[in-house]
Amino acid sequence: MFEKRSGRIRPFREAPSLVDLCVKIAIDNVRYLGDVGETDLHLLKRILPHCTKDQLIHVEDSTVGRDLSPVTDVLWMQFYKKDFGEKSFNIVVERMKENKVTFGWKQLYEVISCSIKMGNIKCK
Amino acid sequence: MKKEDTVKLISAEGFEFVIDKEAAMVSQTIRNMLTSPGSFAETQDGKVTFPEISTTILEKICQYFYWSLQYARGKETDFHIEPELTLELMMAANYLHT
Repeated sequence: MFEKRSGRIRPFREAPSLVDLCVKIAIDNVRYLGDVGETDLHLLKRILPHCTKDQLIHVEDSTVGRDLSPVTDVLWMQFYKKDFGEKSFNIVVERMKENKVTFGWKQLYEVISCSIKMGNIKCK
Repeated sequence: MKKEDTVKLISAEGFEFVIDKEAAMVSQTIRNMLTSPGSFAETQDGKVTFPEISTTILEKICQYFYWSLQYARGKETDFHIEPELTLELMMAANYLHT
Protein backbone atom coordinates (compact mmCIF):
# COMPACT_ATOMS: atom_id res chain seq x y z
CA MET A 1 0.00 0.00 0.00
CA PHE A 2 2.88 2.32 0.72
CA GLU A 3 6.21 2.73 -1.01
CA LYS A 4 9.14 2.08 1.19
CA ARG A 5 11.37 5.11 1.20
CA SER A 6 14.96 5.10 2.28
CA GLY A 7 15.71 6.42 5.71
CA ARG A 8 13.21 7.47 8.30
CA ILE A 9 10.13 9.21 7.12
CA ARG A 10 9.81 12.51 8.83
CA PRO A 11 6.27 12.94 10.03
CA PHE A 12 4.57 16.18 9.03
CA ARG A 13 2.11 16.23 11.84
CA GLU A 14 0.91 13.58 14.20
CA ALA A 15 -2.52 12.25 13.32
CA PRO A 16 -5.24 12.81 15.92
CA SER A 17 -5.78 9.69 17.98
CA LEU A 18 -8.77 7.50 17.19
CA VAL A 19 -10.00 7.98 20.75
CA ASP A 20 -9.98 11.76 20.27
CA LEU A 21 -11.79 11.47 16.94
CA CYS A 22 -14.46 9.24 18.52
CA VAL A 23 -14.89 11.58 21.48
CA LYS A 24 -15.46 14.45 19.07
CA ILE A 25 -18.08 12.51 17.08
CA ALA A 26 -19.78 11.43 20.32
CA ILE A 27 -19.96 15.05 21.48
CA ASP A 28 -21.35 16.17 18.11
CA ASN A 29 -24.04 13.48 18.40
CA VAL A 30 -24.67 13.76 22.11
CA ARG A 31 -28.42 14.18 21.49
CA TYR A 32 -28.58 10.60 20.18
CA LEU A 33 -26.70 9.18 23.15
CA GLY A 34 -28.57 6.53 25.14
CA ASP A 35 -27.14 3.45 26.83
CA VAL A 36 -23.41 4.08 27.17
CA GLY A 37 -22.74 0.43 28.00
CA GLU A 38 -19.29 -0.22 29.39
CA THR A 39 -17.71 3.00 28.13
CA ASP A 40 -14.84 3.98 30.42
CA LEU A 41 -15.56 6.69 32.95
CA HIS A 42 -12.60 8.82 31.85
CA LEU A 43 -14.10 8.93 28.34
CA LEU A 44 -17.58 9.71 29.64
CA LYS A 45 -16.01 12.55 31.62
CA ARG A 46 -15.11 14.15 28.32
CA ILE A 47 -18.48 13.55 26.66
CA LEU A 48 -21.27 13.92 29.20
CA PRO A 49 -20.52 17.55 30.18
CA HIS A 50 -21.83 18.41 26.72
CA CYS A 51 -25.30 17.05 27.56
CA THR A 52 -28.24 19.22 28.42
CA LYS A 53 -30.15 18.25 31.55
CA ASP A 54 -32.73 16.26 29.58
CA GLN A 55 -30.04 14.49 27.58
CA LEU A 56 -28.23 13.54 30.77
CA ILE A 57 -31.43 12.16 32.29
CA HIS A 58 -31.97 10.13 29.12
CA VAL A 59 -28.42 8.71 29.23
CA GLU A 60 -28.71 7.81 32.92
CA ASP A 61 -32.13 6.19 32.46
CA SER A 62 -31.06 4.26 29.35
CA THR A 63 -27.86 2.93 30.89
CA VAL A 64 -28.93 -0.11 32.87
CA GLY A 65 -27.04 -1.82 35.64
CA ARG A 66 -24.43 0.87 35.96
CA ASP A 67 -23.97 3.86 38.24
CA LEU A 68 -22.75 6.88 36.30
CA SER A 69 -22.72 9.20 39.30
CA PRO A 70 -18.90 9.36 39.54
CA VAL A 71 -19.13 11.35 36.32
CA THR A 72 -22.59 12.88 36.53
CA ASP A 73 -22.65 14.11 40.14
CA VAL A 74 -20.59 17.20 39.38
CA LEU A 75 -22.80 17.90 36.36
CA TRP A 76 -25.91 17.73 38.54
CA MET A 77 -24.21 20.08 40.98
CA GLN A 78 -23.80 22.56 38.14
CA PHE A 79 -27.46 22.17 37.12
CA TYR A 80 -28.43 22.70 40.74
CA LYS A 81 -26.44 25.94 41.01
CA LYS A 82 -27.75 27.17 37.69
CA ASP A 83 -31.43 26.40 38.36
CA PHE A 84 -31.77 27.05 42.10
CA GLY A 85 -29.08 29.67 42.62
CA GLU A 86 -25.80 29.97 44.45
CA LYS A 87 -27.56 30.81 47.72
CA SER A 88 -29.59 27.62 47.84
CA PHE A 89 -26.49 25.68 46.83
CA ASN A 90 -24.46 27.14 49.71
CA ILE A 91 -27.25 26.38 52.19
CA VAL A 92 -27.39 22.75 51.08
CA VAL A 93 -23.60 22.39 51.32
CA GLU A 94 -23.67 23.97 54.77
CA ARG A 95 -26.49 21.70 56.00
CA MET A 96 -24.76 18.58 54.75
CA LYS A 97 -21.59 19.64 56.54
CA GLU A 98 -23.47 20.33 59.79
CA ASN A 99 -25.21 16.97 59.71
CA LYS A 100 -22.18 15.14 58.37
CA VAL A 101 -24.14 13.61 55.51
CA THR A 102 -23.73 13.70 51.77
CA PHE A 103 -26.34 13.32 49.10
CA GLY A 104 -25.87 13.02 45.39
CA TRP A 105 -26.60 16.22 43.52
CA LYS A 106 -29.08 14.50 41.26
CA GLN A 107 -31.08 13.43 44.29
CA LEU A 108 -30.86 16.91 45.78
CA TYR A 109 -31.92 18.42 42.49
CA GLU A 110 -34.95 16.14 42.31
CA VAL A 111 -35.99 16.78 45.91
CA ILE A 112 -35.75 20.56 45.59
CA SER A 113 -37.44 20.66 42.22
CA CYS A 114 -40.25 18.47 43.58
CA SER A 115 -40.64 20.73 46.66
CA ILE A 116 -40.83 23.79 44.44
CA LYS A 117 -43.54 22.14 42.33
CA MET A 118 -45.50 21.35 45.46
CA GLY A 119 -45.09 24.94 46.64
CA ASN A 120 -43.08 24.10 49.76
CA ILE A 121 -40.06 26.15 48.73
CA LYS A 122 -39.74 29.26 46.65
CA CYS A 123 -37.14 29.16 43.95
CA LYS A 124 -34.10 31.48 44.39
CA MET B 1 4.91 -7.67 0.88
CA LYS B 2 7.08 -10.04 2.87
CA LYS B 3 5.38 -12.15 5.51
CA GLU B 4 7.54 -10.76 8.30
CA ASP B 5 6.45 -7.25 7.39
CA THR B 6 2.83 -8.08 8.01
CA VAL B 7 0.74 -8.99 10.98
CA LYS B 8 -2.58 -10.80 11.21
CA LEU B 9 -5.26 -9.25 13.38
CA ILE B 10 -8.15 -11.55 14.23
CA SER B 11 -11.58 -10.32 15.25
CA ALA B 12 -13.99 -11.80 17.79
CA GLU B 13 -15.78 -13.66 14.98
CA GLY B 14 -12.49 -15.07 13.69
CA PHE B 15 -12.15 -12.79 10.69
CA GLU B 16 -8.51 -12.18 9.77
CA PHE B 17 -7.03 -8.87 8.66
CA VAL B 18 -3.51 -9.01 7.24
CA ILE B 19 -1.93 -5.58 7.44
CA ASP B 20 1.51 -4.00 7.35
CA LYS B 21 3.31 -4.26 10.65
CA GLU B 22 4.09 -0.58 10.32
CA ALA B 23 0.37 0.21 10.20
CA ALA B 24 -0.44 -2.05 13.15
CA MET B 25 2.26 -0.33 15.20
CA VAL B 26 0.18 2.86 15.14
CA SER B 27 -1.47 1.16 18.11
CA GLN B 28 0.68 1.47 21.20
CA THR B 29 -0.81 -1.75 22.58
CA ILE B 30 0.02 -3.76 19.45
CA ARG B 31 3.44 -2.11 19.26
CA ASN B 32 4.18 -3.28 22.79
CA MET B 33 3.00 -6.78 21.96
CA LEU B 34 5.17 -6.94 18.85
CA THR B 35 8.27 -5.39 20.34
CA SER B 36 8.48 -6.70 23.89
CA PRO B 37 10.78 -9.70 23.69
CA GLY B 38 9.23 -13.09 24.22
CA SER B 39 6.33 -12.00 26.35
CA PHE B 40 3.52 -12.60 23.87
CA ALA B 41 3.82 -16.03 22.32
CA GLU B 42 1.19 -15.47 19.66
CA THR B 43 2.82 -12.32 18.30
CA GLN B 44 5.95 -14.25 17.43
CA ASP B 45 4.10 -15.73 14.49
CA GLY B 46 2.55 -12.37 13.75
CA LYS B 47 -0.97 -13.15 14.91
CA VAL B 48 -2.99 -11.18 17.40
CA THR B 49 -6.51 -12.18 18.41
CA PHE B 50 -8.96 -9.67 19.82
CA PRO B 51 -11.84 -11.66 21.33
CA GLU B 52 -13.58 -8.45 22.38
CA ILE B 53 -13.40 -6.58 19.08
CA SER B 54 -15.99 -7.28 16.40
CA THR B 55 -15.12 -7.55 12.71
CA THR B 56 -16.80 -4.25 11.82
CA ILE B 57 -14.85 -2.40 14.49
CA LEU B 58 -11.54 -4.12 13.72
CA GLU B 59 -11.93 -3.25 10.04
CA LYS B 60 -12.48 0.37 10.95
CA ILE B 61 -9.43 0.29 13.17
CA CYS B 62 -7.28 -1.10 10.34
CA GLN B 63 -8.55 1.70 8.11
CA TYR B 64 -7.58 4.17 10.80
CA PHE B 65 -4.04 2.76 11.02
CA TYR B 66 -3.45 3.42 7.30
CA TRP B 67 -5.19 6.78 7.48
CA SER B 68 -2.97 7.75 10.39
CA LEU B 69 0.20 6.86 8.45
CA GLN B 70 -0.94 8.89 5.46
CA TYR B 71 -1.84 11.80 7.70
CA ALA B 72 1.60 11.77 9.28
CA ARG B 73 3.07 11.93 5.80
CA GLY B 74 1.20 15.09 5.03
CA LYS B 75 -2.06 13.82 3.50
CA GLU B 76 -4.40 15.48 5.95
CA THR B 77 -7.82 14.17 4.99
CA ASP B 78 -10.78 13.59 7.30
CA PHE B 79 -11.34 10.17 8.81
CA HIS B 80 -15.00 9.31 8.58
CA ILE B 81 -16.64 7.59 11.55
CA GLU B 82 -20.24 6.41 11.40
CA PRO B 83 -21.97 7.85 14.50
CA GLU B 84 -23.53 4.49 15.34
CA LEU B 85 -20.07 2.91 15.65
CA THR B 86 -18.66 5.67 17.83
CA LEU B 87 -18.93 4.21 21.34
CA GLU B 88 -17.79 0.70 20.42
CA LEU B 89 -14.95 2.09 18.32
CA MET B 90 -13.93 4.46 21.08
CA MET B 91 -13.68 1.62 23.60
CA ALA B 92 -11.59 -0.49 21.23
CA ALA B 93 -9.37 2.49 20.39
CA ASN B 94 -8.94 3.15 24.08
CA TYR B 95 -7.88 -0.45 24.65
CA LEU B 96 -5.46 -0.29 21.73
CA HIS B 97 -4.00 3.07 22.82
CA THR B 98 -4.72 4.46 19.43
